[in-house]
Parts: sequence; structure tokens; C-alpha cells
Amino acid sequence: MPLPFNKHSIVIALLSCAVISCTGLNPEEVRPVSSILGTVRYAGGTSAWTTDSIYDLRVVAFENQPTAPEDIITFLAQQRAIFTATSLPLRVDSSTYSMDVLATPRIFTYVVVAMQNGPDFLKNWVMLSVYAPSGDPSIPGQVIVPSSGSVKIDFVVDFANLPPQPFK
Amino acid sequence: MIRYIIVFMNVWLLGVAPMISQPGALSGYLTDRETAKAIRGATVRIEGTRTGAITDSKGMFAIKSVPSGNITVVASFVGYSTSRQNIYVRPNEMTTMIMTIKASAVSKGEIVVSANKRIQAVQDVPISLSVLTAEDLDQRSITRLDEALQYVSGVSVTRDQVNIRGASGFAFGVGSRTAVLIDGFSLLSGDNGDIKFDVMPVMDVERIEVIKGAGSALYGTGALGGVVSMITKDPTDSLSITARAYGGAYTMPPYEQWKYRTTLPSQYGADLRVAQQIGAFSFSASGGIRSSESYRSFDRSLRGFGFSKISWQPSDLVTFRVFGFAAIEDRENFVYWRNLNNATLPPSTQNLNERLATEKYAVGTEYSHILSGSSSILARYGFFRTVFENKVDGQRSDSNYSIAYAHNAEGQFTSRLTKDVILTSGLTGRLNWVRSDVYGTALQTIVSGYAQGEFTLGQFIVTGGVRADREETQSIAPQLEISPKFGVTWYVSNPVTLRASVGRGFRAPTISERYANIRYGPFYVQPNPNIRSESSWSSEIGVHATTSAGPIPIDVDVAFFNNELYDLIEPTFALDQASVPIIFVNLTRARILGTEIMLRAMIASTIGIETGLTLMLPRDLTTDETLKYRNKILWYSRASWKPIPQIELQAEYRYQDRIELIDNRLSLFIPDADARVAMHVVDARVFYSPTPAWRVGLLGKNLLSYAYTEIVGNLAPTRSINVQVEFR
Repeated sequence: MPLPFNKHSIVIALLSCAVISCTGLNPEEVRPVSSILGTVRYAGGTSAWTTDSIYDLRVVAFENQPTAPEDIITFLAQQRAIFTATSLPLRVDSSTYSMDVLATPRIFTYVVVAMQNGPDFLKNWVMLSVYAPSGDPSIPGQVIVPSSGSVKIDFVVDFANLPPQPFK
Repeated sequence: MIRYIIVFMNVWLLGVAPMISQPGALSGYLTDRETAKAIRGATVRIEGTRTGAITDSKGMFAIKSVPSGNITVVASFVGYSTSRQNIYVRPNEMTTMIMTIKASAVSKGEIVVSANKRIQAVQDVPISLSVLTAEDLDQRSITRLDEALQYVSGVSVTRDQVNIRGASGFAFGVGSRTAVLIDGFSLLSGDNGDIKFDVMPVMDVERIEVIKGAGSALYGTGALGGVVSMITKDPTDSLSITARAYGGAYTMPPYEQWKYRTTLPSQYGADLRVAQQIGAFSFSASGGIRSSESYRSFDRSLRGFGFSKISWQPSDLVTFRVFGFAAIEDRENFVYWRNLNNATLPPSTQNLNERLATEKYAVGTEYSHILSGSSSILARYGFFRTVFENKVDGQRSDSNYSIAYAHNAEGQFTSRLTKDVILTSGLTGRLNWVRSDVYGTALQTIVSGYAQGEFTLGQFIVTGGVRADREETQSIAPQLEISPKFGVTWYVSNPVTLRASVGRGFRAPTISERYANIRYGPFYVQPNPNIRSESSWSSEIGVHATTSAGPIPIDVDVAFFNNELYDLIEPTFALDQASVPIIFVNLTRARILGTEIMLRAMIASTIGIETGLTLMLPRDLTTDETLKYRNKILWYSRASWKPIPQIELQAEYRYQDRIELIDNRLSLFIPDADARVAMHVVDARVFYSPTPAWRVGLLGKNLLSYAYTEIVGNLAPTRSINVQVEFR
């Protein structure tokens, strides 16, 4: 059975720390993490934002398109979907986003900007923009996220012309 | 069952009473064997009993009730070899003796511990046990007791979670798997069952005992991975005043991205302690403040705390003690970072007007009565009140308020039935009451009975015991936990001791784990009242030896251990429920195999070194992969040098390997959740003592400004430099 520890790991760790003056975490280093990133623009600027209550706003990538509101949280919990870790900024002209993708390579068939417009996290969701390279929002595009690579997807949200909703 | 225990206790007391002999009294004078100078503050105790005394300013001691006949008196003090002396004590008479002890370079003095709920030498205990003395805390200028535990081999501390030999992981701040006590009182809160380190009086601590391994046979719920027991100082006949103040700053972080302000974040604090014994009364009072602007934005804190203990000895055989402490804190609530690139900033959605306000206070009483020189009873009661609430603009924000009371009562009987047999038994009761908009209103009771016997058989000390705990929460069916233990200590030769032990630990689910109903990020945590206690079996063998390598005296301890963990309670997604909530469930069966080596040596008369290495194999047997949030290597090293008597230099190094596995679902709502590295932390201090009463220190923590995460999404403290002035 192989040893669970590298037998020289402690000595190497100490020496390397002393010799190269290790600093630990580095925000500048390129981390081998795949991601989906890009910009969300809001057509009409800040004045176009709906006056409805907005509880949450995220970019969500689904492996399979949800058919019921409850699918969102189910897919997230099962790690069959990912979303931006925090809510996107509200009532702005545009904002950038980024979300790490684990277990790559991976295929997402439905990538959207989603807004929670009511207090019920399970039900009150509306899709504001769908990734659709064909230009037809009723035909969502497939996104392949490679290992150690990023996929750039920009969205345009038009509050006056929302894409087809996957559920009522 | 409790009825049976009470009947059993009564029968036992009646049965034991006739065996009690008439006690005598003992007084004496303790001096240095070479210089004949009086030794002040040394411990003198009667071996095998709870009885002992501290020498006063003239080296005098008096023990008013000791067993008559042949007894062994043990004297110990830091920097001296332990001294034992046999003496015959006549019934109903005062016997006087003179003792001497010899200075020793490597000795920290005989460490006496109360791990078995009675005072005994640390080598007598059949389980791995580390002790931090008041001198250890003083040398490191500890300002919070969780800092002290970072310097104990096999122990890691992340926030307020104490992880002994891998028993604990990341638990969202609830459910400590380490029991924590102060003078025998539990310090786990009534709602979350977490540790409140900020209430503990640093300057009053006489010693901290860290029991490594399951300890529920004596300490009940919570002692699944071990026990941290703090013993406070007893005042002496001379007035003692200790004052300390420190101030300093965090240096700028190593990366531009992490500089969240243009000036250095400051921190300062002060402590004061006054204590004295006056006749039959003694008192101590201490307090302090802590303020920090923190190395992170939205992480400032201000804290005040106080502690007081009053003792009254109306007769030679009876002692009353009352203690109380309180702490209040107002802090910003940094939960996790915005992302690695902005590791010193909270998420952009964080309401920066939010504050977390906490209040904690406790009152404890203790009555002890020496029935004779060989038996005693002890009764305790105390409560611990904790309150936390989130405030926004000074007003309570919704859904995050909790008030909890933890009431604890205990009766204990200790008897030396014969010269070689000591029995300890007791009854305890704990009541947790919680009112919260997070957990609702809930009541939890735990009643217990325990008994332990220690038998000296030549060179062997055999210990066996069992404890029964009945836990009941609301209308949930009561649960009964039986926790046995067994241990053997073998004095192979004078400097070599072998030990072996096996014992069970358990932790009853806390009210928060059963009844939490809260939104956590985008997810809902929902109640699961049906979770059961989690449990463990710890076994170990170890050897302790004092030897030498040429002229260098060495103290070495080696242990091999195995922790079997059952039904570990963990938060997880309930995929079978429509809303997929997070609930706490009994999820994991795990095993942690490991070894621990500790070594201490004086390589020259003014240079001392100390190191402790713990290697572990934490395995999740449910998933057949490495147990999440566990290190495999913990390494701690320390060196000190006194080039001249007035100056001391100290350096410490702590290493933890990179945690192999975390729950990657945390990436769903914590950016860069998987960013983690091994830990390398170097602390160093320089002290100058112009007179015995004054000391000035320059203290550096994390001198390399090494960047690592303590828990997911949380950068650990970067480098800080403080100046400290102390008067004793």
C-alpha cells in the first residue's frame, strides 16, 4: 500500500518555504479552474429596469433545461446546475459576472440570466435572457466548458421582450 | 434509571462511611535543595487524593485534612524535579515536615491534572493529555484562549471549533465535538453547542488540560473527540496585581488587491487582575478589553469581558466558591470573502450596516466538603446565558436572534477506599433552554450518572469507568447513551511510562441542528428533529520517557491512536424532498488512524526546543474517500533562548498540510471556495524584563505574512506586530 504521506513532504515543505519565501495563496496566480464569464447588459439602461420587487439576480447554467420552478434548486443541489455565487448588481446599465465550473469538461444546454421576483425561492423565477447563438431565444445554445479554460458568454436583457419561459 | 443511581449512591455512601478513618493535618516548609530559599507558588499535594495546597510567600503550606497513617506528599514547581516524601500522619494531630526540591533544566514541574475528576500526576492518566500551564500562556502573551490551543500537538483551531486529532471538521459553527469546561462547568452554549472562547479569563487560568480522545465516560455529551478543561488560579496570601496592555497593527497584505485601506489596521487591548487570600476568604477579579480593526474590511470588533471568583472556607473541611463572568461584543459580520482576488472584502451584496451583537454571562457555585482525609463530596450548579442578534442600523434585523440558557448541576463523590483503590462517582444534569426566531422555543435535558474506579496494582494503575446519559428534547423519544472507558498505565521504570486506553464518546444533537429554520445564502436550512447522537470509540497506546542524549535532557512522548466515528451529524441536501432543503443528518461513518510524537529538550542551559508532529489518515468509510475538512499532518515547533536573564527570544512554527477534500457544493455560493493551501505560520517574540515586576515585549504573528484560509472563503490573519507592557 502506498504511503499516505509523501515521506519527504514535511522537509520539502519547510525548506521550500524558507528558501523561496512562500507566500501561500496568491490572487494573481492562474488557477486551474474553468469558468463561464462575461457581461450582462440591460437594454435601455437603468431606466428600463422593472419596478417589480427583485429578490435575486443570477446567471445560471443548467445541464438540462428545467421544466418546473422546483427543478432549479433540485438541479443546483444535485450539482447539475451552477450559478453565480452572489446576486448580480441591480439597476445598473451592465455588469460582469464569473462562475467557476468544477468537474470539467462539462456541457450545459440552458444558460440564462434569471431573476427571483417574489419571496418564494422555489417558484418566483423568471428568465430574463437566454444564451442563444442562433439569435432565436426559443432555441437555447449548448455550452461546452473545457478543462482549465473559460467560456465567454455575454447577455443582453430586454425587460420589454423576455425570452420564452421554461415554465409557467 | 436516575432513581436507581440515587439509591446506589446512598448505599455506597453508607457502605463507605465506616471505612473512613480519622484524618490528621499537615503543615510544612518547601525550599530549594541547593540554595535553601523558600519556594513560593509550588504545588504540594497528597498523592491519590483531591487534597493539596499552594505554598505561600514564605514557602509555607498547610493541608488541614489528610488521611492518617502513611501518606506520600508530592511537591512540584516549574523548573524543578518533582519531589516525593513519605510521612506518617497521626489522627487528629498536626504533623509538620520540611521538603526540598531540586532545580531541573528540562522539567516543567510535575504537571497535576484533573482529567479523571480528581487531582493526579499527568503520567498517571492512561490517555494522551497535553497541559498548558499559566507560565506557557504567559510566555506566549496569549490574549484569547483559542490562540493557546494552536500550540498543542494534535490540535487545530478554526474559528471557534477545536479539532482534536481530526475529530471535528467544518460545521458552520454549530455542535462542538470537544467538551470545554472551566473549573468543571461546561462552556458550550445552549443553542448551538459551540465554544465561546471570548468569555474565558486569560489571566486567571492556572492550566489548560487537553484530553485527546473520547472522554464521555466522565464528561458526557460533547466529549466525542476530546476535552479542553480550564482550571483557574487560586489566590495566595499576598496581594497579586497583574496588568497588561498591548497595541499594534496588521501590516499591509502582500498583494495590492487585498489592500482595503490606506492606513494600517490597528488593534489594542488591556487586562487587569487582582487577587488575594485574606483569612478564610479569597477573591480574584479580572477584566479586559479587545479592539481590532482587522486585516479585512467589515471585520472590526470591540469586546469587553470580566471574571470574578470568591472563595470562603468556613471550616477546615468545607469550601464554598462562587464565580461569574460576562462578555459583550459588537462586531461586523464577515462571513466569507467576495472572491480570492478580493479576499479582504465581503460579498458586494453584504449590507455594511449590519452588526452582530453578542452577550454572554455565567454564574457558578461550588460546595466541597472533605468527609475525611480520604473521601470528599462536591456539588456544583451554574448557568450560562448566551444571546446573539443581528442588527442593522442599530435595530434588530429579521430572523437572526437567539437567547439560550445552559444550566448545569453536578454532585460528585470521591473516596480512597483502600491505599490502592480510588472510586469517583457522580450525578449530573444539564438543561438547555432556547428561545429564538431561528430555532423556535425548545428545551433539552440530559441527566447522567457515572462511576470510575482506579486500582493501583504494583507498577500498574488500572482505570475503568462507565457513564449513562439520558437525553431528551421536546417530544422526541429519549435517547440513552452508555459510555464506558478502560485504561492502563504501566510504570516500566522510573523515567518510562506506558499507557493504553479505550473509551467511548458521544455528542447529542444540539437544538440548532434539530430545529434550525433559516435561509443560508440561496438555500433553506430546515429542521430535522429526528437526528440521533453521533458517537466515537477512541483507542490508543503511548509511551512517555524522560531521557538524555549525552548532556541534553529530553522529554519524549509517542502515541498511536485510532478514532472510530459513527453517525457523524453533517448538513446536507435532502434530495428526496421537493424543495431540496439543507438538513442536518447522521451521515458519515469515519475512521482516523494516526500517530503523534512530542519531544522537548534543553540543548543548552539557555536554549530550549519543543516539537510535536501528528500524522493522520482520516477516512470517510461511507464514501470510501478522504474525510472532508481534515488535515493529515499537523506539526508544531518552538524554540526559546535567553542570552541574558533579562532578555528572552522565542520563535514558533506551525504547519498543516493542505486539506485534501471539502464539500465542493460550497462553490455554489462561495466564490473560489476551493482556494486553499498548506499552512506555514511563524510567530516570534522578544521580551525584555528590566526588573522582575516589569516586562516589555515585541510580538510578531504570522511573520511571513503567509496567506492561507482558515475555513472556506476566509483568509487567515496576515502579519501583525504588537508591543506589550506587563506588570506583575
